[in-house]
Amino acid sequence: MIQQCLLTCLCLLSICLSSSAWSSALRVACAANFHLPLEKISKNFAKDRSTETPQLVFGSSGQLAAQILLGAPIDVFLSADMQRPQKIYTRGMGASEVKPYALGRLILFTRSTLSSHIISEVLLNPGIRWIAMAKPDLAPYGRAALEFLSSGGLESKIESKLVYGENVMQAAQFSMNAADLGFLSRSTLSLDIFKPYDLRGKHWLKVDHKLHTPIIQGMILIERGSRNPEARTFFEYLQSEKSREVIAGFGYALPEISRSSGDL
Amino acid sequence: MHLNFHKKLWTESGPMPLQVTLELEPGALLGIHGPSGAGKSMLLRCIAGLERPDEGRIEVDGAVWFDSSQEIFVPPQHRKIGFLFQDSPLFSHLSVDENLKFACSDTNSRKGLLEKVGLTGLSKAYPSALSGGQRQRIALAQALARQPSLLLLDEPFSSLDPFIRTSIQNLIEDFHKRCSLTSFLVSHQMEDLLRMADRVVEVQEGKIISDLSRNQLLEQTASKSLRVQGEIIQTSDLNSYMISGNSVYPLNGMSKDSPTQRQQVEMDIELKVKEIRVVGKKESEIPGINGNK
Amino acid sequence: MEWGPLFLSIKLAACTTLILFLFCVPFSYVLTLLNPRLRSFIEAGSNLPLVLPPTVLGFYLLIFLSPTSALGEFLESTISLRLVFSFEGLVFASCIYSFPFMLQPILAGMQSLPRQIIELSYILGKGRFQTLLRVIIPMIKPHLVKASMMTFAHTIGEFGVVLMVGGNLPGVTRVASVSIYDHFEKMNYAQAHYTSLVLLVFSFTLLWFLTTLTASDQTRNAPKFS
Repeated sequence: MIQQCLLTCLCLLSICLSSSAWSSALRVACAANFHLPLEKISKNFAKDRSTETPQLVFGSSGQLAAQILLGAPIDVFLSADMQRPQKIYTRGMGASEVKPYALGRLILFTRSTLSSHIISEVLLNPGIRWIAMAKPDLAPYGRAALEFLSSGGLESKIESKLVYGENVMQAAQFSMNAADLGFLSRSTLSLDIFKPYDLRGKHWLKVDHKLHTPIIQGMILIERGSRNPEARTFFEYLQSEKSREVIAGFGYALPEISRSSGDL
Repeated sequence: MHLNFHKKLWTESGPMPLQVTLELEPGALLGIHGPSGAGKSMLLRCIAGLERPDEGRIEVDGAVWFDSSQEIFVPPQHRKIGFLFQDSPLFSHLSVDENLKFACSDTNSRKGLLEKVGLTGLSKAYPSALSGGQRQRIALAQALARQPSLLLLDEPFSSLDPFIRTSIQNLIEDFHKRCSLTSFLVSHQMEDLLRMADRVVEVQEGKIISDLSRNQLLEQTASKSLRVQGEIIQTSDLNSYMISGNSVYPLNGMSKDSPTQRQQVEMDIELKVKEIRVVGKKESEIPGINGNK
Repeated sequence: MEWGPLFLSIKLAACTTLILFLFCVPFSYVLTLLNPRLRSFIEAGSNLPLVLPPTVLGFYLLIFLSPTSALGEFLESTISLRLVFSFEGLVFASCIYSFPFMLQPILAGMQSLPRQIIELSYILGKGRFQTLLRVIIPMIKPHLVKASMMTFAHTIGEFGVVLMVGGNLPGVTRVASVSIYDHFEKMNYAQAHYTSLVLLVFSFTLLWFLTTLTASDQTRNAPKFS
């Protein structure tokens, strides 16, 4: 019996160890809120260039950045902000400057029906119990939502009703379940689940983007990726007209094409 | 066999040093008597190698099993001994035969042992299906399967009822003689030792306070000769009893020619008495009886 | 239906369970032979993975093992082993994370064995290793199965550690739990439900099978002494 066990063990271990991790596939890490545009752009890239679709890894910008800094095998990183790619750049792990690729747009969303066309009225409605948003200290969309609330003096009035998601996608999940209202990214409406609710005025209102600092989503080519010519090509492709059209189509605003990096 | 060691033990009332100095002839059956907590079991465990004395020397048949000055300690696996633990543990995941196989791989010896303990039919049974007495017989067979020269018995009779006790005692005596064993028998009941041992040491609080041969011991205990008329019966586990009136005397030391059927006999019985306990109306339990014909 | 993440989860759980089993059986045995004070110290230490939140544990593992750290660099240069963002890394992290789940039941089983049984084995001429193999392991089989089951289940359900140390790389470290979470994040609920269901059914079947194995064993020879 012991011998059989040992044999099985060795077989399993050899199977396990034979699968090598460090393949040469192109890997792109991206903030969760941008997954729809990126999936489309990747497919376009593969078709246009007749190559494999890049491998996409989605998650929280913070966690992804931390992992990249600790050696994660990622070639291109699309963050939900500019600070995190900037950190990668200052640590010397970037092979390019930080380039903005999209400007996030905030909306106020409800699954039921909006009681008014004025956001402040909607928020102050006594029938509202929970308002979802992303965490302001962690997520750019959360920060923007908070700035918006402060600009209108609404923060203190609805503070007790706020419910925080780790990122704007989690806020979207809350809005579909328990929360009455949610501050979401405009691109969320492109998700299958949200499509029936894409009725402006009835289910969502635009948040004036001048009332908060811009949500600039920035990307960077990682040092490891610069060794892979495909990675650099993809990085350039993300900035092409075709890709920008896709990005705009999902509800993002487009940054001006500029050569400078850093905070806009 | 030379034993000279001491070990510090701890009891509720504080430290109790165990101090043992003994010389033993091969073939002896040494009884070890004393109250609970006196250190009897610990003595046995030190001889077996299950405990390590603090200081001293243990020499058996010329082999040194322990010597603190030379830092010699032979682990129990390499001391060829038989040990009968108090509640006769057996390996519950193995059948009776497999239990014996654990100790001895020779099929014939195992068969022979099972025959000697009278449990041939149980070789495929598992310990959970055995009675206490049966388990002890198997444990005894297992202990002897490796043909040790030393047999250690730690209170083997304490969990047995009186009827089975006698048959086990007979068995042990039989093995002791047949296999030329040197045996140590620990018991807190003197009657067992009087019956079986040819030398008894008394242990109290870790010290050996007396060391007497059986004869010397018998002289010290009261005895009475009785002529008894009654019936001898034999129970199903091969124990014999003399029933006379309202008294039942368990008979030890019956030879093969002893009457086995119910018959009226008149016998001389010698009663060696340490204590008399009247248990009930019909029965008086008188320990330590040797039957003489 | 993606079968890749499911296969990865099962592979991870199987490897982890096997490695931990082979390590914890002799380790528990050695623990029982140590003096009680040292043993309780080591036991307490081995329970630490239970105390730390999984993501935190994953994060610290990431820091200590990444190629940017001293240890990670050493491992990579000497035996080309990278324990982060790789399947091997997941196995390593899972072994640490699920360690108490394998150790505790086995240790409890060994400590529940009467000392006399072990001593009996020694007296009958068997050394420590033989005793472990022929007496201890067969007698604590239910505990061994329980430990394996719990480790397996715990590893299948692992999320925080795996995500941190593995990096959610498709085909390599994207195990079922992470994949399900991914679907939830993207609000592909149908996919999420489907994968969860398959995972649940598979795990339940496996655990049920193992439980019936031990049940039949126990009826055969109920461990009972005197």
